[in-house]
Amino acid sequence: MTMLRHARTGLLFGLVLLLSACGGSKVVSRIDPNEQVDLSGNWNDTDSRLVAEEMIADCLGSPWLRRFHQNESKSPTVITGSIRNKSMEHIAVGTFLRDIERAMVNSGEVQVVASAEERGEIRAEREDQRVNATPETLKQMGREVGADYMLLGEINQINDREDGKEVRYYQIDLELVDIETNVKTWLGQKKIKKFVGRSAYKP
Amino acid sequence: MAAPAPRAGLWDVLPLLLSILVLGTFGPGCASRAQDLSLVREALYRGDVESALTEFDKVGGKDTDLLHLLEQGYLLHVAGRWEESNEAWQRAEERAEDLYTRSITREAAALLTSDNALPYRGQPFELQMIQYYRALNYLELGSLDGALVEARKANYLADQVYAKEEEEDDEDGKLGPTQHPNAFLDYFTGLLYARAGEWNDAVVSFRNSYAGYGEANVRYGVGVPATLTRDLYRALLRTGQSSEAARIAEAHPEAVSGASESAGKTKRIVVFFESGFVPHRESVDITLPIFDDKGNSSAWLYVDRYGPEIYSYSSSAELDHVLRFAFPRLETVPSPVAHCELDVPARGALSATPVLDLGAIAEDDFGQRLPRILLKTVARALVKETQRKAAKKENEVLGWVINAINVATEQADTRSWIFLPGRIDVIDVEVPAGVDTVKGRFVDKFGQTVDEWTLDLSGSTSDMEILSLRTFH
Repeated sequence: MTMLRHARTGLLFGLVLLLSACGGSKVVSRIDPNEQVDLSGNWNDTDSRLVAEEMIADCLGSPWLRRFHQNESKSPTVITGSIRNKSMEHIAVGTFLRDIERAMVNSGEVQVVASAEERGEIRAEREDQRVNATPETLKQMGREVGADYMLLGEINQINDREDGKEVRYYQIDLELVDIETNVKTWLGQKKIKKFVGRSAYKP
Repeated sequence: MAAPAPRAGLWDVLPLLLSILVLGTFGPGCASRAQDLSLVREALYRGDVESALTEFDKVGGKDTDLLHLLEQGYLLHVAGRWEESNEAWQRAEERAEDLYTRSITREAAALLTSDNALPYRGQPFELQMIQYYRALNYLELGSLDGALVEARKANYLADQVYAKEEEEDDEDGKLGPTQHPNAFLDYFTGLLYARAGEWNDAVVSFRNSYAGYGEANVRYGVGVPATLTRDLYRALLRTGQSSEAARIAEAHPEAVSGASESAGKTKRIVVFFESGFVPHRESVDITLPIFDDKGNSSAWLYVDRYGPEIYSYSSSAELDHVLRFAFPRLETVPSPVAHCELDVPARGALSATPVLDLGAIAEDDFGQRLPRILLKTVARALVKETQRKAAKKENEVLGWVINAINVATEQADTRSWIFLPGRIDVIDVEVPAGVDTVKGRFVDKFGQTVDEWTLDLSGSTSDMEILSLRTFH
């Protein structure tokens, strides 16, 4: 009987050793891209999408657009400028910019032109067409649409941490600047506050 | 005439044979982390980084192992594979976050086996150095914004360390732990902010660094670097804080003379010289055969009785069990590098200033941890001995099996990030326009060049470059 008890002790010992040496197995499953999943508390795809949608909705609901329509017979043209990441995380600003452009274009209220970086590639293509494309399909030079406004922004972050508790505060500031006059026509701000709790121990 | 010693039967010597077998199999064969990576280090000594990476891959490791990720990130950094290096360190940071929560199961396993059963959490100073290297990677990739993200992270971590110090000062009424590279990291991040033109942030970082070098780092023999006082003075003027700038100028007149900025005519280069290695952990193994000498079984008596021939005992003193203790000690790796120079055309050889003694910080950190490590070693020995005794009481063979397992599992935790430099020096100099190359030299105490690098500045578009050089000698 006692022999059996000690055999159990030995087995338990071995099991503990084994457990301490083994890692977990990997599980992969597909989920809806719109599903909200927060793992680390860092800025993620949900933040990017929600902030872009909410801020652009705010932007397009502001008086500047109504005034523009009163004075002009066309939709305003917007170009996205730089959005500076001044946070403590390596935020994929490109993804955020695409979310903003998508929200603006899908609204039908404004038109968006290619950014400075994208323009270079498109101009190179037009240059190439001059040599290689048929005359009827050749696209003309000098017919680009000039933007009326430039969207600029900044992402700031403040963290506060004590033991296992952490509050992460993100402030996203966007501004729409009239390219001709430098007048800031719209200022938008979105704040995100997250609480990240970590327990000191787990089983 | 002495009576012949009685012959021991197979059963008498079996436990000893078993112990020897177990020790031979598991004991001395368990190399320290530094020994595991000796071929990697040899390749680095030869300057063959690609071979070092190959050898490192042969050693292997998991992505869940923080230490593996730290070392992998570092080797990729010195190989110039900046993006891959950043990816490894990103995973390391995420892993370090995950490890905040301790597993009770693993803690219990560690008490029954060794601290190696616990995942490596990294020493705080090791984790802080990630931001320095990642920022350098981003600079090499041409992403100042990326480097600034690392700067903000470094400041945030430093703030947490400072807050912890203050908390401990309040509780104990004494100075808290100072084994951190905060002053250096504040200086480094100040440079990054200055390069980005973010002068308010630069002032805060330089000011914190100035205070840090003035207080905590005195014990490491690294005073306030002259280049820092100049940077602080310059940043204070830029932000219109003239009264504080005047105080700095009064305390450090040399800061004022070197602070004039000659835009356009020169390019400012800041070069960090990294040399040596931080001390690493090696194992101290103590194996004690404990004899049952029929009533006088106090462990210490066998030394008196059998002297240097403790293994030539007769059957009157049978081996009762084997005790093994293992704990880490710190092994210093001497570096031949005495100082560093930058050879700038028309300016000659300029000497670098020490800004970080990471070796001293590692020693200080280990010194503060050692009492706890030893206490855990003793506690573990007690738990193991209780297990063995209980087993032996019921069954002799099981007692020996448990003893053998106890001995085999007793290993020192020798894990640490061994590739970190022992020391970092800096040169901050204005290079005349048109100078495309400068030479960085690591020099020994006899003035002989230990290692030499040529820095190509021809592709540089910024008016301020922050670079680093590493010698593995």
